[in-house]
Amino acid sequence: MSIKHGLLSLLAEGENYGYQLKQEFERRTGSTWPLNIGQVYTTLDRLVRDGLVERGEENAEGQVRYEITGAGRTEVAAWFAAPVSHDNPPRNELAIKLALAVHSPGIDVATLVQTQRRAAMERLQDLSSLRRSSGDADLAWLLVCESMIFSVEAEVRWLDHCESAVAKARRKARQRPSPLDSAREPHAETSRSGS
Amino acid sequence: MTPRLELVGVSRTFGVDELAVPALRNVSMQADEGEFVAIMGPSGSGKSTLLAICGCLDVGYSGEVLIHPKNSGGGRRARSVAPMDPRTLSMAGLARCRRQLVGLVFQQYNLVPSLTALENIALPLELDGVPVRKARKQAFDALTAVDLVGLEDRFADQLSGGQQQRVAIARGIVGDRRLLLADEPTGALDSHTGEEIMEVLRARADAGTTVLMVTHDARHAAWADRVVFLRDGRIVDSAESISDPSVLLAEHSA
Repeated sequence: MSIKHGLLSLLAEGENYGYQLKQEFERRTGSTWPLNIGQVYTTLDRLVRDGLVERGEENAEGQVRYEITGAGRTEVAAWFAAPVSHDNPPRNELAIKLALAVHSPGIDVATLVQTQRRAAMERLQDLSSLRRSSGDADLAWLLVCESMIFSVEAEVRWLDHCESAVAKARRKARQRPSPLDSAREPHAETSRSGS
Repeated sequence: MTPRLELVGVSRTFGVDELAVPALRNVSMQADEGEFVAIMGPSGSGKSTLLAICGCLDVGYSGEVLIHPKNSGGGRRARSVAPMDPRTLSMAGLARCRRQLVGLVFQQYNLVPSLTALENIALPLELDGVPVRKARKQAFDALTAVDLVGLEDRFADQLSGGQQQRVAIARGIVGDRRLLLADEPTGALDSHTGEEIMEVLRARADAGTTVLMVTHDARHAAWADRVVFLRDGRIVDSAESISDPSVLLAEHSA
């Protein structure tokens, strides 16, 4: 997502000033994505250039009101209608770390998993108590908070899965001796009978 | 903090000799008054064994288990009640311990189908010889605590899964029992109803009950003050919520 669509969706509710747009955006998303005011004005300029937003009058304090155009409304509607793309998943440092750990000599994957699980669980406890203490807070903010809860939960479940997958792979590896082991065995047999 | 439950070097082995399977190995932990502890771990890690021992259902352990009967806040007399180790009790003593000190809640609600919600809750008191009127009064208090007022005359099959589990929780806390043990209490419930059960358990802990809960669900475990991780019968780690919600809120609105 870009700030562009965030600002457009707020403007679709009514004309507004740049600073108010920034505040409203942050309030609704529980400040999980703080905007800097420069970003807001650059984006508004670009929206004006693309004909999605119109600049209104300046007030006495030099603040400019912005208003959405018909093309802007079409753009917002299309954004809400389309699913969020998974084409470019963000780089997941944890997945990369585990992928490297499973074949790294001297790295105990179980310990790595547990260290991460503890951190995730503590985060989940914090979010859960934040959610509880929020009570009947604004619905938009609760949904954002719960989205964080669900994604940490998914991380814990994935870690559980990794742990059992690694353990299963290790068991399999022990049951099926590698060609190296079978090549060594006759030699061991000989040396035993020789002694 | 005042301990409600203490385990010192507790081990439990099933089977003998070469067939011996250690289910718990040298487990030491403590749960305080009003503390909500979640126990997590893969199948076979010893979670249910741990709960059965704390619940006076299994006394074949070695080590020491101490259950402290009453709250320390109740003056000198309350404090003088000695903690008890289930292993040292007779069968009758164990049964009394289960009726008076610890409540047990399972994935299956185990309600008596021919009794109403209120009668199910009053059952442990009546078995204990508490006069009927007093038992009903205490049962109604417990029913109120789990937010079931209005449903006291329903039979189990007239209640939803979540409501039946609330009855089971009320039966577990009735008579001022302060240690509630829950083995996968949300295992048979959908996610939303499971959250409601967590709300009930959290409220009981906030009111002073010590809650020990086994769960697979990380989101439910997150309601606890502390999460203990079991692996192969050992406590390998624990997670604790340290943040004050107000600090987190400030972080978010900064």
